[in-house]
Parts: sequence; structure tokens; C-alpha cells
Amino acid sequence: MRRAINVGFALAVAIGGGASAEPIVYSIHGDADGELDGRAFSGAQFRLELRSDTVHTVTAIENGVTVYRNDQGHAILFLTRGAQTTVAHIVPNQIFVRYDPTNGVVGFGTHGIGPFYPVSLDWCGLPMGCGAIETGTPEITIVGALAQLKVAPHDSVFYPAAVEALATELRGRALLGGFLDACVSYDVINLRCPSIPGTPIKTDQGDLYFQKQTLFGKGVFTATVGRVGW
Amino acid sequence: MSTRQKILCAAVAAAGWLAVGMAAAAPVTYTTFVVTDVSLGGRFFHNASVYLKFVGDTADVQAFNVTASDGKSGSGWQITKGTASVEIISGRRVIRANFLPDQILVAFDSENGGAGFSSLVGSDHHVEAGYPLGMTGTTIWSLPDLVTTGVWSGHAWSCIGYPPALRGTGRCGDPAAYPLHTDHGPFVIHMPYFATNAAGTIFDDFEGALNDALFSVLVGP
Repeated sequence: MRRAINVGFALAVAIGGGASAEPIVYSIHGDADGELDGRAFSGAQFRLELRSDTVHTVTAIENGVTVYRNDQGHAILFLTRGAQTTVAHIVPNQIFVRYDPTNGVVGFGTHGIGPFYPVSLDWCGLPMGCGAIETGTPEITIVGALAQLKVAPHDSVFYPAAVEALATELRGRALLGGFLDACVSYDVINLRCPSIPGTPIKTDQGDLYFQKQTLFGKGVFTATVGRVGW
Repeated sequence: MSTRQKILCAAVAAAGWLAVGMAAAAPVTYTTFVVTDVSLGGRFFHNASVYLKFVGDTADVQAFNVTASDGKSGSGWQITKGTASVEIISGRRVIRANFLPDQILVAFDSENGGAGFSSLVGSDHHVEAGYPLGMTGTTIWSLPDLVTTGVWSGHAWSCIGYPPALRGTGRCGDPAAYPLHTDHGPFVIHMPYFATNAAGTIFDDFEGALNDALFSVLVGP
């Protein structure tokens, strides 16, 4: 009995992460359509950040695969329209960061809406809509290449070692890239984002919705360790 | 991917510019953002946030139309007159440097579908279309010109000898051999993330660069 408890405890520690505490900033850079405080924006450049600490990064099993996520911290949107940049501080406990290396999806999710909204990067344009990663041929995104290397390590022949070194558990510096999705439910037949969630993301600049109309844009995800711009 | 698309800017590098002036006069700022390896003044930065900026005037955007000796062509828009700078953010460090004149140009090859920051390098001042940061694929295809405000994204190339697949080399040259000169010393940008065929050569001149970048055009003060 005691041995079983010890094993269970060890597993919980492993799943929990147990990383040393260090400030970390997760960011996605891209462009999107949407609405902030009732004002629509189109093709606006943005950077969405979650400023947290590595101690809050956890490993979890979701839908049968290992994912890394961090639900704690202060989220900020930098939205640039023309020459003007709006800084919107997101009300706490709405946004989390999540990386699913098996399916090749990284991004920010929203509690109560879903793990891919407001923004995520994937290897085909639709998070969880890509199907199984192809093997035996090179991928064209970083998240796709890393997903491919998980299931087909011999496909490392298609990439320099620097690509494989980008594998991350969201506990340190990271660089990932892929197709940017910023729509709660994309219409793949008509190639548009027809609707917004029933619940907005609350910010100090008003209600925020993302409604990106194209699947073809790319985005850049980074994690930076240390107190940068706090 | 058509053969026509794969020509890209090598034709530009080979044939030189044939420019036609474009009207209007307003300040214009081009900015690219990428996260990659760079060095400045001998200091190396791994996966730094790199912003390249070029400030000019829309009156100086010119059309170009070139044909190389092998018959491959390129056409679109370019601007050579302006000031260029780089900002590197690595951890707490923010380093800004200004490029010395007559090295950086911004170009959009609408015929082949590429755009970004090109350069004049080497003792012969030849054009490197995909260096320091050229972009291909995804939304950069839909860039209308170089005088319309907006943001586009695409595969990020920092490749000496672009396009490597078309040229048959399959590899980019050593950028350290072609440093760009700034007021903070030589600037070099690397392309560590790319995809190859099984033989180890870059498999495609459009999608062979794995990393991504953003390109913005801002017309007005």
C-alpha cells in the first residue's frame, strides 16, 4: 500500500512538472481580424503575451496525448492598427498557453471557449483538422516538423539538428511557427470565419473577439525566460 | 509550385534592375519581424527577435522588370532610397544599429511571389534577393504593391545564393562572408531552420524555409 502511494506521488510530481521558478513570457506574433471594444479591426498586427512563471507549467494528458500548458499569469494584447498600438490587459483567469507536440498545435486557449481560441498555430491551417502528420517527406512548418519527428525519428534526415533542438515543454526558451488560426469555428467550405464566441475575452480596453478570415497566414510563437519588459 | 514561380529573385540578381518611377509622395516604413540567429559587432544572439526597418518615401518606389541571360524573368516593385536599421532583442538586451547606406533595398517580385529585404553585398555589390530577409508563400503572395499599408506573413529566408533549389546548389552560402555594415559593426543573419530532401539539400525555394516572418508596410507619418 505504502509503495503504491509513493508511486502515485512520483507520478503526480512528474505530471506536475516540478520546474524551478523562473519568469517566462509566452508570445504569439501575427495578424488577425476581429473586434476590440466594439471597433472592428482587419489585418491588424498583434502580439499576444502571457507573462507567467515556469513553476506553473504543467504536463497533462488530454485526448490521449501529452500536452504542456500554463494557466497562470498576466495576459496582454498589443494590437497595432496603422501607426497606433493599443495595449489591452486581459482580465485574469481567462487565457492559458498550451502546446500539443503530437498534433503540432501551439497557442492560447480560453477557459470556457476552447484550447485553440483566441489564437493557435498548426501545420495545416486548422487546429486538430490536419489529420495524421505525414511522414517520409519534409514538413513546411516548425510545429509540423516537430510533430513529424515525434512519430518518425528517422525523418530527421529532412532537417538540420537545429530544428529538432526546438522541441519544447514550455519550461524554457522556445521558438515555434505555423499557420495561424484565430477563429472560434472556421467555415472550411466557404473559407471564412462566420461567427464570434458568445462570450468575449474581457480586457481593460473592452471586449475582445478574434475573427480571422483567412487560414493562410503564418505566426510565430516564442517563449522568453527572464524578466523582460515587466 | 510552377517553374515560373520558382524563378523568383535570382533573375533580379543576375540581370540588374530596370526601374520605372512610381507616383505619389508619402513617408513609408517597411518592417520585418523574425526570430532567428544573428550576430552584430561580433556578438552572437541565438533566437533573438529581429526587426529590420526601412524608411523611405513612396515616390521612390519603382517598378522593375528584368530578364536574366537564361531567359528567366522577374518583375515587381522596389525601393532603394531610404534608411535602414535593425533592432535585436535578446533577453533583456535591446540593441539598435543603423545600416550604412547603399546596402539594403526592399523589393516585391510580383511575378514570382516573393518580397522582403534584399541587399547589395560583396566587392561587386551584387544583389542578394533573399538576404537579409526575403519572404515567400502564405499571405505574402497577396501583397498588392509596396505602397499599401498592411501586414503579411510568409516563410523567412536569410539565404545567400537564393534561390538555392533553382540554382542547383540546394544550399545557402555562408552569410558571414557577406556581412552587412552598420554603425555597430558587421551584421550577419542566419537561417538555421530549413527543410531538405533526403540528400540534404533544400527541397523547395518557397517552402524550404521552416521559419516564419511578418512584413508590414505603413504609409504615412
